[in-house]
Amino acid sequence: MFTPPLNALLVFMVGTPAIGWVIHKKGYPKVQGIYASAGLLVAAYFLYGLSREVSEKGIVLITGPLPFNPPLGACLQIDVFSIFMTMLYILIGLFTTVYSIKFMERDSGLTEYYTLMLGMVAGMTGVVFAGDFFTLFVFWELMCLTSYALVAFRKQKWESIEAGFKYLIMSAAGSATILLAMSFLYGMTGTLNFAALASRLANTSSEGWLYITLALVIVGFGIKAAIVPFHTWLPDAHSAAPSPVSAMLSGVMVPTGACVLIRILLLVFSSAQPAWQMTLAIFAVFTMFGGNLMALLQNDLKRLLAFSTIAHMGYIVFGFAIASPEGLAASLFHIVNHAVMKSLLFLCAGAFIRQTKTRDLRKLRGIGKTMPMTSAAFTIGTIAIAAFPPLNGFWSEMMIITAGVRAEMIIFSALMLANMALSVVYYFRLIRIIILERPTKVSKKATKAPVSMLIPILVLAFLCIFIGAYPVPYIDASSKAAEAMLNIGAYIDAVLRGL
Amino acid sequence: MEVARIRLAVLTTVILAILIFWMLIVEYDFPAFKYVDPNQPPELVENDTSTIGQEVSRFLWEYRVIDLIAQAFVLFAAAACCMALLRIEERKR
Repeated sequence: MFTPPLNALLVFMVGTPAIGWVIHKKGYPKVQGIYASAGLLVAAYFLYGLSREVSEKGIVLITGPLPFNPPLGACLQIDVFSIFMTMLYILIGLFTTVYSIKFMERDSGLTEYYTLMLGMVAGMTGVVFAGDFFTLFVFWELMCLTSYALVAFRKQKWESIEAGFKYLIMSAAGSATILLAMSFLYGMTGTLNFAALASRLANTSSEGWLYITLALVIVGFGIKAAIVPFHTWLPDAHSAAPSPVSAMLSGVMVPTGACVLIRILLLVFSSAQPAWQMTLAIFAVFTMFGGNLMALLQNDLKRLLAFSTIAHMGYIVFGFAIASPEGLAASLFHIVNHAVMKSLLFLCAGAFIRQTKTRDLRKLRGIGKTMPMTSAAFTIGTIAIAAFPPLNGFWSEMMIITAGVRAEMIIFSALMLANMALSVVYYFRLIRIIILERPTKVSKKATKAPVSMLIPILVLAFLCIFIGAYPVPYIDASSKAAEAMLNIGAYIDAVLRGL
Repeated sequence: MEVARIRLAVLTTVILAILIFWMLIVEYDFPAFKYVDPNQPPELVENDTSTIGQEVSRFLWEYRVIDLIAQAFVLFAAAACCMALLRIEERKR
C-alpha cells in the first residue's frame, strides 16, 4: 500500500495489541518489547531494499494501488533525504524499544506503550515520505497523537498529565496553524502536491499572501521544532515523559519538525528565500540563547537535557537558515549526532532515575561511584555534546559554523560559537556532579543498571566515539541528503513529467 | 505578579497578531486560484446533488486512497491513546 518499511511499521503496530492480548493470558510481559523491536528490524531490512532502489532511480514515487497519479492523487515521494531520516528513526526507535523492555517492566499498559512507539516511528516515516501536504498532515497527526499519549503515559503522576495536556494544547495550535497555511496554499494554487506547489509558486515573490502563509508555516512547524518562543511545551514534556520516550522526542521527533519546515520552505517558498533565511537565522539565535541560558539554571537532570535540546535545535535551524549545500549537510549531520548523543544522555538519565527515584542533580552527586558503566557512557555523551574533539558533536557543530562563515553570516556564526562556549559550563557541571563529587546517601544506595538497559547505552556511547573518529561516511550521507533537498528540479520532474 | 505580566504579554501579542492579520486581509485581496494549472479540470466531481455522496466517495477512493488508509491508522492510534490513558492500574505482584 505505502512502501515496505512503512507497511512493516504499521502492520507491527496493529499486531501489537493482538500479541499483548495473547501474552496477557500466558504471562510473558517482555514479549511485546521483543515483538516491537522485531518490527523495527523488519522495517530496517525493507528500508535497505528501498534505499537501493532510491540510489538507482534518485526518487521513488508511490501512488497507491490505483492509477490515479499526482498532482491530483495523493503520493509518497521518497528520495535520499527521506531514506536518511528514516534510518535515524528506526535506529533510535530500536535502541529505545530494547531499553524499554527492562525500563518499563514495572509499568502497566505495555501493549499500548509499544503500539504507540511503533505508531510514532511510522508517523515520522510517513511525514518524510509524503509527496503531498495533505498526506504529510495525516502522518503528522499520527506522529503527534501517539506522542501526546506517550508523554502522559505515567498518568498516575500529576506532572505527566500536566505536561501531556500542555503539549497537546500547543501542538494542536501548531497543527491548526499548519492547516490554515495549507488552506491558503490550496486557495492560491488548487493543489497541495509539493512538486506542483513548487512549480506554480516559483515566481511569486511579490504576492503578499505568500508571506502570510510563510509565517503560518514557520509558526506551525516551529512549535514542533521547539523554536523559541514556541518551545514552552518541550521542557515539561521531556522531563515528565518516561526516559525512552524523552530520547525519542528529543533525538528524532523535534528535529523532524525542523526538517519538514526546511523541506517545505525550499520547495514551496523558494521565491521568498531571502525573507525566510533571515527570519530563521534570527529565530535560531534566540533558540540557542534561550536553551543554553535556561539550561544553566536547572537542577533537574532531564529538564537540563531538555533545554540543551532547545539550544541544539537553534544550531540545526541556523544550519538550515544558511540554505547552502554545506549548511544543509552540516545540519543534517548534526541531526544524526544530536540523535545519538541526546538519546544516550536521556537513556543514561533514565537509568539513574530508575535506580535512585530522583531527577534532582543535588541528590545524584557522585553516582559515578555506584553506577560506573552508565556514568562513563554519560560522560562520553556529555563530552560529545559539548563539542569536544574528536567526538562526533565537534564535527557537525564546526561544519555549521564553517558553512555560516562561508555564507557571510559571520555574526550569526560568532553567536553560535559563543553559545557553544556557554553550554560547556553546564555540561562540565554535569560531569563534575556525576563523576567527581562525593556520593550522597541516595547515590550510595543505587545499584548498577540491568544489562538489557546497558546494551543500548553502550552501543550509543560507542557510536559517539566511532562517528567522531571516522565521520567521512556520515558526512557523505548528509551531503547526499542535502543535495536531494536542493535538487528541486528533479523533485518536480518526478511528479509532473513522470519518472 | 509574574503570571499576570506573562498573561498581559501574551494577550497583547495575540491582539497585535490579530490586528496585523486583519490589516493584511484588508490590504491584500486573496488571490483565489490565481496560480492554478490551466490544464487542471475545473470540477473534480459532478455538480449534481443527487449523486454528490457517491461522487465524493469515488474521488476519495480513487485519488486519495493513501490519505484514507493513513487516516484509518490515525484512528487506530487514537483508540490506542485512549486505551493507554484510560487504563486501570494493575497491582504488581
